[in-house]
Amino acid sequence: MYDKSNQTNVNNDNNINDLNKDPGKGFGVPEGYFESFNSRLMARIQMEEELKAYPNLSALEKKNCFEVPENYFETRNFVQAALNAEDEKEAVVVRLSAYIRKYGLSIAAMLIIVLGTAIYFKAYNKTEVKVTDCAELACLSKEDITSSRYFEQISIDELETVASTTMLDSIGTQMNKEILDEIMADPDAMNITDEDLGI
Amino acid sequence: MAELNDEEILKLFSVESTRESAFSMLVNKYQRKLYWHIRKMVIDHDDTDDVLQNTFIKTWKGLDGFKNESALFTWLYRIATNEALTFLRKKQKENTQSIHPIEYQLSKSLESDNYFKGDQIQLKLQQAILSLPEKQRIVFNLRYYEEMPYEEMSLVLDTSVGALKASYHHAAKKVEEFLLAN
Repeated sequence: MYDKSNQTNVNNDNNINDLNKDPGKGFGVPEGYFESFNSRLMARIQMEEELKAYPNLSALEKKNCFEVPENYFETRNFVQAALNAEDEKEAVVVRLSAYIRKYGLSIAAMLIIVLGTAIYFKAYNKTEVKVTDCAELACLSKEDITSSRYFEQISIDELETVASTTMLDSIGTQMNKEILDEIMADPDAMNITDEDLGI
Repeated sequence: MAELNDEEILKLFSVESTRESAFSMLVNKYQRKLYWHIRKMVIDHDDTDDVLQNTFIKTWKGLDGFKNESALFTWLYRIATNEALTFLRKKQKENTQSIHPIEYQLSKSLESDNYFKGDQIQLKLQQAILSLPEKQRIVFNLRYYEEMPYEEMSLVLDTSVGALKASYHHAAKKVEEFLLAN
Protein backbone atom coordinates (compact mmCIF):
# COMPACT_ATOMS: atom_id res chain seq x y z
CA MET A 1 0.00 0.00 0.00
CA TYR A 2 2.71 2.35 1.07
CA ASP A 3 4.81 1.40 -1.88
CA LYS A 4 1.96 1.97 -4.25
CA SER A 5 1.24 5.45 -2.95
CA ASN A 6 4.90 6.20 -2.96
CA GLN A 7 4.99 5.19 -6.60
CA THR A 8 2.12 7.61 -7.35
CA ASN A 9 4.02 10.42 -5.67
CA VAL A 10 7.02 9.63 -7.82
CA ASN A 11 4.82 9.77 -10.95
CA ASN A 12 3.38 13.13 -9.91
CA ASP A 13 6.85 14.49 -9.35
CA ASN A 14 7.78 13.36 -12.83
CA ASN A 15 4.74 15.21 -14.28
CA ILE A 16 5.64 18.40 -12.44
CA ASN A 17 9.15 18.12 -13.76
CA ASP A 18 7.77 17.72 -17.25
CA LEU A 19 5.55 20.77 -16.78
CA ASN A 20 8.48 22.83 -15.59
CA LYS A 21 10.38 21.78 -18.69
CA ASP A 22 7.53 22.55 -21.10
CA PRO A 23 4.53 23.99 -19.26
CA GLY A 24 2.65 24.85 -22.44
CA LYS A 25 2.75 21.33 -23.79
CA GLY A 26 -0.35 20.75 -25.87
CA PHE A 27 -1.41 24.43 -25.81
CA GLY A 28 -0.68 27.23 -28.17
CA VAL A 29 -0.40 31.01 -27.72
CA PRO A 30 -0.54 33.78 -30.30
CA GLU A 31 2.71 34.65 -31.98
CA GLY A 32 4.84 36.99 -29.89
CA TYR A 33 2.51 36.71 -26.89
CA PHE A 34 5.23 36.39 -24.24
CA GLU A 35 7.52 38.88 -25.95
CA SER A 36 4.85 41.58 -25.91
CA PHE A 37 3.37 40.64 -22.53
CA ASN A 38 5.43 43.12 -20.55
CA SER A 39 4.57 46.09 -22.75
CA ARG A 40 0.89 45.13 -22.77
CA LEU A 41 0.88 44.88 -19.00
CA MET A 42 2.51 48.29 -18.61
CA ALA A 43 0.03 49.81 -21.06
CA ARG A 44 -2.83 48.37 -19.02
CA ILE A 45 -1.41 49.75 -15.78
CA GLN A 46 -1.00 53.14 -17.45
CA MET A 47 -4.65 53.01 -18.55
CA GLU A 48 -5.81 52.28 -15.01
CA GLU A 49 -3.66 55.07 -13.63
CA GLU A 50 -5.11 57.52 -16.12
CA LEU A 51 -8.64 56.72 -15.07
CA LYS A 52 -7.91 57.16 -11.36
CA ALA A 53 -8.36 60.89 -11.77
CA TYR A 54 -11.96 60.31 -12.82
CA PRO A 55 -13.68 58.27 -10.11
CA ASN A 56 -17.15 58.17 -11.71
CA LEU A 57 -15.79 57.05 -15.02
CA SER A 58 -13.47 54.43 -13.54
CA ALA A 59 -16.30 53.09 -11.37
CA LEU A 60 -18.27 52.18 -14.47
CA GLU A 61 -18.03 48.72 -15.87
CA LYS A 62 -16.27 48.92 -19.20
CA LYS A 63 -18.49 46.93 -21.53
CA ASN A 64 -19.77 47.03 -25.06
CA CYS A 65 -23.49 47.78 -24.94
CA PHE A 66 -23.97 47.69 -28.68
CA GLU A 67 -25.18 44.58 -30.45
CA VAL A 68 -25.16 43.38 -34.02
CA PRO A 69 -27.83 41.34 -35.82
CA GLU A 70 -27.41 37.60 -35.44
CA ASN A 71 -24.67 36.10 -37.65
CA TYR A 72 -23.90 39.52 -39.07
CA PHE A 73 -20.15 38.93 -39.40
CA GLU A 74 -20.62 35.39 -40.65
CA THR A 75 -23.07 36.30 -43.41
CA ARG A 76 -21.98 39.78 -44.48
CA ASN A 77 -19.84 39.48 -47.58
CA PHE A 78 -17.62 42.55 -47.80
CA VAL A 79 -15.33 40.88 -50.31
CA GLN A 80 -18.11 40.52 -52.87
CA ALA A 81 -19.21 44.10 -52.22
CA ALA A 82 -15.69 45.33 -52.96
CA LEU A 83 -15.51 43.25 -56.14
CA ASN A 84 -18.89 44.53 -57.30
CA ALA A 85 -17.88 48.10 -56.63
CA GLU A 86 -14.83 47.67 -58.80
CA ASP A 87 -16.95 46.43 -61.69
CA GLU A 88 -19.30 49.35 -61.51
CA LYS A 89 -18.12 52.32 -63.44
CA GLU A 90 -18.16 55.39 -61.33
CA ALA A 91 -20.70 57.87 -62.59
CA VAL A 92 -19.21 61.23 -63.40
CA VAL A 93 -21.17 63.80 -61.47
CA VAL A 94 -20.55 67.35 -62.49
CA ARG A 95 -21.29 69.51 -59.50
CA LEU A 96 -22.39 72.91 -60.73
CA SER A 97 -21.57 74.58 -57.42
CA ALA A 98 -18.02 73.26 -57.46
CA TYR A 99 -17.62 74.27 -61.07
CA ILE A 100 -18.82 77.80 -60.32
CA ARG A 101 -16.53 78.00 -57.28
CA LYS A 102 -13.57 77.01 -59.40
CA TYR A 103 -14.27 79.09 -62.47
CA GLY A 104 -16.47 81.77 -60.87
CA LEU A 105 -14.18 84.69 -61.63
CA SER A 106 -13.68 83.64 -65.23
CA ILE A 107 -17.42 83.15 -65.74
CA ALA A 108 -18.20 86.55 -64.19
CA ALA A 109 -15.58 88.29 -66.32
CA MET A 110 -16.89 86.60 -69.45
CA LEU A 111 -20.48 87.63 -68.66
CA ILE A 112 -19.42 91.24 -68.07
CA ILE A 113 -17.57 91.35 -71.40
CA VAL A 114 -20.49 89.83 -73.33
CA LEU A 115 -23.11 92.05 -71.69
CA GLY A 116 -20.93 95.15 -72.03
CA THR A 117 -20.34 94.52 -75.70
CA ALA A 118 -24.05 93.93 -76.32
CA ILE A 119 -25.04 97.14 -74.51
CA TYR A 120 -22.38 99.13 -76.34
CA PHE A 121 -23.54 98.00 -79.77
CA LYS A 122 -27.19 98.54 -78.94
CA ALA A 123 -26.75 102.02 -77.50
CA TYR A 124 -23.97 103.67 -79.47
CA ASN A 125 -23.29 101.87 -82.66
CA LYS A 126 -26.29 102.80 -84.90
CA THR A 127 -26.03 101.55 -88.44
CA GLU A 128 -25.62 104.41 -90.89
CA VAL A 129 -27.67 104.22 -94.10
CA LYS A 130 -25.64 105.24 -97.05
CA VAL A 131 -27.98 107.35 -99.18
CA THR A 132 -26.10 106.69 -102.37
CA ASP A 133 -26.64 102.97 -101.94
CA CYS A 134 -30.37 103.31 -101.70
CA ALA A 135 -32.69 104.42 -104.41
CA GLU A 136 -35.88 104.43 -102.42
CA LEU A 137 -37.58 107.39 -100.84
CA ALA A 138 -37.43 106.00 -97.34
CA CYS A 139 -33.66 106.05 -97.43
CA LEU A 140 -33.33 109.65 -98.54
CA SER A 141 -32.61 112.55 -96.26
CA LYS A 142 -34.73 115.69 -96.41
CA GLU A 143 -31.91 117.55 -98.12
CA ASP A 144 -31.71 114.91 -100.83
CA ILE A 145 -35.44 115.09 -101.43
CA THR A 146 -35.60 118.87 -101.62
CA SER A 147 -32.69 119.10 -104.02
CA SER A 148 -33.94 116.29 -106.21
CA ARG A 149 -34.67 117.08 -109.82
CA TYR A 150 -37.61 114.73 -109.71
CA PHE A 151 -39.14 116.51 -106.80
CA GLU A 152 -42.32 117.24 -108.74
CA GLN A 153 -43.03 113.52 -109.03
CA ILE A 154 -43.38 113.14 -105.25
CA SER A 155 -46.94 113.16 -103.94
CA ILE A 156 -48.14 115.84 -101.57
CA ASP A 157 -48.64 113.33 -98.76
CA GLU A 158 -45.07 112.11 -99.05
CA LEU A 159 -43.80 115.63 -99.16
CA GLU A 160 -45.70 116.61 -96.07
CA THR A 161 -44.07 113.83 -94.14
CA VAL A 162 -40.55 114.86 -95.03
CA ALA A 163 -40.63 118.61 -95.46
CA SER A 164 -41.72 121.50 -93.33
CA THR A 165 -44.22 124.09 -94.64
CA THR A 166 -41.58 126.78 -94.72
CA MET A 167 -39.37 124.69 -96.89
CA LEU A 168 -42.28 123.89 -99.20
CA ASP A 169 -42.95 127.62 -99.63
CA SER A 170 -39.40 128.28 -100.65
CA ILE A 171 -39.46 125.26 -102.94
CA GLY A 172 -42.70 126.53 -104.53
CA THR A 173 -41.17 129.94 -105.19
CA GLN A 174 -38.12 128.32 -106.73
CA MET A 175 -40.33 126.09 -108.93
CA ASN A 176 -42.35 129.06 -110.22
CA LYS A 177 -39.17 130.86 -111.09
CA GLU A 178 -37.79 127.81 -112.92
CA ILE A 179 -41.04 127.40 -114.91
CA LEU A 180 -41.05 131.06 -115.82
CA ASP A 181 -37.47 130.84 -116.97
CA GLU A 182 -38.28 127.80 -119.09
CA ILE A 183 -41.21 129.65 -120.71
CA MET A 184 -39.13 132.68 -121.37
CA ALA A 185 -36.38 130.55 -122.92
CA ASP A 186 -38.84 128.82 -125.24
CA PRO A 187 -39.48 131.04 -128.33
CA ASP A 188 -42.76 129.28 -129.03
CA ALA A 189 -43.96 130.03 -125.56
CA MET A 190 -44.29 133.68 -126.41
CA ASN A 191 -46.85 132.78 -129.08
CA ILE A 192 -49.23 131.14 -126.68
CA THR A 193 -52.56 132.79 -126.72
CA ASP A 194 -54.96 133.23 -123.90
CA GLU A 195 -57.03 130.46 -125.45
CA ASP A 196 -54.08 128.07 -125.21
CA LEU A 197 -53.83 128.93 -121.62
CA GLY A 198 -57.61 128.47 -121.15
CA ILE A 199 -58.13 131.97 -119.81
CA MET B 1 -5.78 27.18 -41.02
CA ALA B 2 -3.58 29.50 -38.95
CA GLU B 3 -4.18 33.21 -39.34
CA LEU B 4 -1.60 34.82 -41.58
CA ASN B 5 0.21 37.95 -40.55
CA ASP B 6 -0.23 41.22 -42.45
CA GLU B 7 2.96 40.82 -44.42
CA GLU B 8 1.91 37.40 -45.68
CA ILE B 9 -1.54 38.69 -46.59
CA LEU B 10 -0.03 41.56 -48.55
CA LYS B 11 2.30 39.19 -50.35
CA LEU B 12 -0.64 37.04 -51.40
CA PHE B 13 -2.59 40.11 -52.46
CA SER B 14 0.16 41.15 -54.84
CA VAL B 15 -0.29 37.91 -56.81
CA GLU B 16 -3.27 37.99 -59.19
CA SER B 17 -4.34 34.38 -58.57
CA THR B 18 -4.45 34.74 -54.75
CA ARG B 19 -5.62 38.33 -54.65
CA GLU B 20 -9.21 37.60 -53.76
CA SER B 21 -8.46 35.03 -51.08
CA ALA B 22 -5.88 37.36 -49.52
CA PHE B 23 -8.44 40.13 -49.36
CA SER B 24 -10.92 37.71 -47.84
CA MET B 25 -8.37 36.91 -45.09
CA LEU B 26 -7.83 40.59 -44.47
CA VAL B 27 -11.58 41.19 -44.14
CA ASN B 28 -11.95 38.27 -41.74
CA LYS B 29 -9.06 39.47 -39.66
CA TYR B 30 -10.14 43.10 -39.29
CA GLN B 31 -13.87 43.35 -39.87
CA ARG B 32 -14.83 43.08 -36.20
CA LYS B 33 -12.29 45.60 -34.96
CA LEU B 34 -13.17 48.09 -37.66
CA TYR B 35 -16.88 47.52 -37.18
CA TRP B 36 -16.72 48.45 -33.50
CA HIS B 37 -14.49 51.41 -34.16
CA ILE B 38 -16.99 52.76 -36.69
CA ARG B 39 -20.03 51.80 -34.64
CA LYS B 40 -18.84 53.88 -31.68
CA MET B 41 -18.66 56.86 -34.00
CA VAL B 42 -21.84 56.56 -36.08
CA ILE B 43 -23.91 54.64 -33.47
CA ASP B 44 -26.49 53.11 -35.80
CA HIS B 45 -25.86 49.55 -37.05
CA ASP B 46 -27.06 50.13 -40.63
CA ASP B 47 -24.95 53.24 -40.94
CA THR B 48 -21.99 51.32 -39.58
CA ASP B 49 -22.57 48.61 -42.15
CA ASP B 50 -22.51 51.21 -44.97
CA VAL B 51 -19.36 52.87 -43.65
CA LEU B 52 -17.60 49.54 -43.14
CA GLN B 53 -18.47 48.49 -46.67
CA ASN B 54 -17.05 51.74 -48.03
CA THR B 55 -13.96 51.20 -45.92
CA PHE B 56 -13.33 47.79 -47.45
CA ILE B 57 -14.06 49.04 -50.96
CA LYS B 58 -11.46 51.78 -50.48
CA THR B 59 -9.09 49.21 -49.02
CA TRP B 60 -9.52 46.93 -52.03
CA LYS B 61 -8.91 49.80 -54.43
CA GLY B 62 -5.96 51.19 -52.52
CA LEU B 63 -4.19 48.09 -51.29
CA ASP B 64 -2.06 47.88 -54.42
CA GLY B 65 -0.59 51.25 -53.63
CA PHE B 66 -0.15 50.52 -49.94
CA LYS B 67 3.44 51.02 -48.91
CA ASN B 68 4.77 49.40 -45.79
CA GLU B 69 5.56 52.80 -44.30
CA SER B 70 2.88 52.19 -41.68
CA ALA B 71 1.27 49.04 -40.35
CA LEU B 72 -1.66 47.70 -42.34
CA PHE B 73 -3.74 47.87 -39.19
CA THR B 74 -3.16 51.65 -38.74
CA TRP B 75 -3.82 52.26 -42.42
CA LEU B 76 -7.17 50.46 -42.17
CA TYR B 77 -8.10 52.40 -39.04
CA ARG B 78 -7.28 55.62 -40.79
CA ILE B 79 -9.53 54.78 -43.73
CA ALA B 80 -12.35 53.73 -41.38
CA THR B 81 -12.03 56.91 -39.31
CA ASN B 82 -12.09 59.13 -42.39
CA GLU B 83 -15.04 57.27 -43.85
CA ALA B 84 -17.00 57.58 -40.59
CA LEU B 85 -16.27 61.31 -40.34
CA THR B 86 -17.24 61.87 -43.96
CA PHE B 87 -20.47 59.98 -43.34
CA LEU B 88 -21.33 62.05 -40.26
CA ARG B 89 -20.64 65.33 -42.06
CA LYS B 90 -22.77 64.25 -45.00
CA LYS B 91 -25.57 63.24 -42.65
CA GLN B 92 -25.37 66.61 -40.90
CA LYS B 93 -25.54 68.42 -44.24
CA GLU B 94 -28.52 66.37 -45.44
CA ASN B 95 -30.47 66.95 -42.26
CA THR B 96 -30.98 70.64 -42.81
CA GLN B 97 -34.35 70.89 -41.05
CA SER B 98 -32.81 70.06 -37.68
CA ILE B 99 -31.14 72.87 -35.75
CA HIS B 100 -29.33 70.38 -33.53
CA PRO B 101 -25.85 69.06 -34.29
CA ILE B 102 -25.50 65.49 -35.51
CA GLU B 103 -24.18 64.34 -32.09
CA TYR B 104 -27.46 65.38 -30.48
CA GLN B 105 -29.44 63.42 -33.06
CA LEU B 106 -27.24 60.37 -32.51
CA SER B 107 -27.72 60.69 -28.79
CA LYS B 108 -31.49 60.78 -29.23
CA SER B 109 -31.50 57.85 -31.65
CA LEU B 110 -29.59 55.79 -29.11
CA GLU B 111 -32.61 55.79 -26.79
CA SER B 112 -34.70 53.97 -29.37
CA ASP B 113 -31.94 51.83 -30.86
CA ASN B 114 -32.90 48.14 -30.88
CA TYR B 115 -29.28 47.11 -30.92
CA PHE B 116 -28.31 49.09 -27.84
CA LYS B 117 -28.56 46.94 -24.74
CA GLY B 118 -27.00 49.16 -22.12
CA ASP B 119 -28.64 50.15 -18.87
CA GLN B 120 -29.39 53.74 -17.86
CA ILE B 121 -25.87 54.49 -16.70
CA GLN B 122 -24.36 53.07 -19.89
CA LEU B 123 -26.76 55.20 -21.90
CA LYS B 124 -25.60 58.24 -19.92
CA LEU B 125 -21.98 57.32 -20.66
CA GLN B 126 -22.69 57.09 -24.38
CA GLN B 127 -24.52 60.41 -24.30
CA ALA B 128 -21.57 61.95 -22.47
CA ILE B 129 -19.20 60.63 -25.15
CA LEU B 130 -21.49 61.96 -27.88
CA SER B 131 -21.38 65.41 -26.30
CA LEU B 132 -17.63 65.57 -26.95
CA PRO B 133 -16.11 67.36 -29.93
CA GLU B 134 -15.44 65.07 -32.89
CA LYS B 135 -11.69 64.59 -32.41
CA GLN B 136 -11.93 64.13 -28.64
CA ARG B 137 -14.66 61.55 -29.17
CA ILE B 138 -12.47 59.48 -31.46
CA VAL B 139 -9.52 59.72 -29.10
CA PHE B 140 -11.66 58.79 -26.10
CA ASN B 141 -13.19 55.76 -27.82
CA LEU B 142 -9.84 54.50 -29.08
CA ARG B 143 -8.25 54.87 -25.67
CA TYR B 144 -11.06 53.95 -23.30
CA TYR B 145 -12.71 51.10 -25.21
CA GLU B 146 -10.01 49.83 -27.55
CA GLU B 147 -7.14 50.60 -25.16
CA MET B 148 -5.02 51.66 -28.08
CA PRO B 149 -1.54 52.90 -27.14
CA TYR B 150 -0.96 56.59 -27.86
CA GLU B 151 1.89 55.75 -30.22
CA GLU B 152 -0.43 53.70 -32.44
CA MET B 153 -3.18 56.28 -32.18
CA SER B 154 -0.70 58.89 -33.29
CA LEU B 155 -0.20 57.01 -36.54
CA VAL B 156 -3.94 56.55 -37.11
CA LEU B 157 -4.91 60.15 -36.41
CA ASP B 158 -1.70 61.78 -37.59
CA THR B 159 -1.41 63.72 -34.33
CA SER B 160 1.41 63.94 -31.81
CA VAL B 161 1.36 61.71 -28.72
CA GLY B 162 1.37 64.76 -26.44
CA ALA B 163 -1.66 66.26 -28.16
CA LEU B 164 -3.49 62.93 -27.95
CA LYS B 165 -2.80 62.60 -24.22
CA ALA B 166 -4.09 66.11 -23.63
CA SER B 167 -7.12 65.41 -25.81
CA TYR B 168 -7.94 62.22 -23.90
CA HIS B 169 -7.70 63.95 -20.53
CA HIS B 170 -9.94 66.80 -21.67
CA ALA B 171 -12.43 64.25 -22.95
CA ALA B 172 -12.34 62.14 -19.77
CA LYS B 173 -12.81 65.26 -17.66
CA LYS B 174 -15.87 66.29 -19.68
CA VAL B 175 -17.35 62.79 -19.48
CA GLU B 176 -16.79 62.79 -15.72
CA GLU B 177 -18.52 66.16 -15.39
CA PHE B 178 -21.41 65.01 -17.57
CA LEU B 179 -21.89 61.91 -15.42
CA LEU B 180 -21.87 64.03 -12.25
CA ALA B 181 -24.31 66.56 -13.66
CA ASN B 182 -26.75 63.99 -15.00
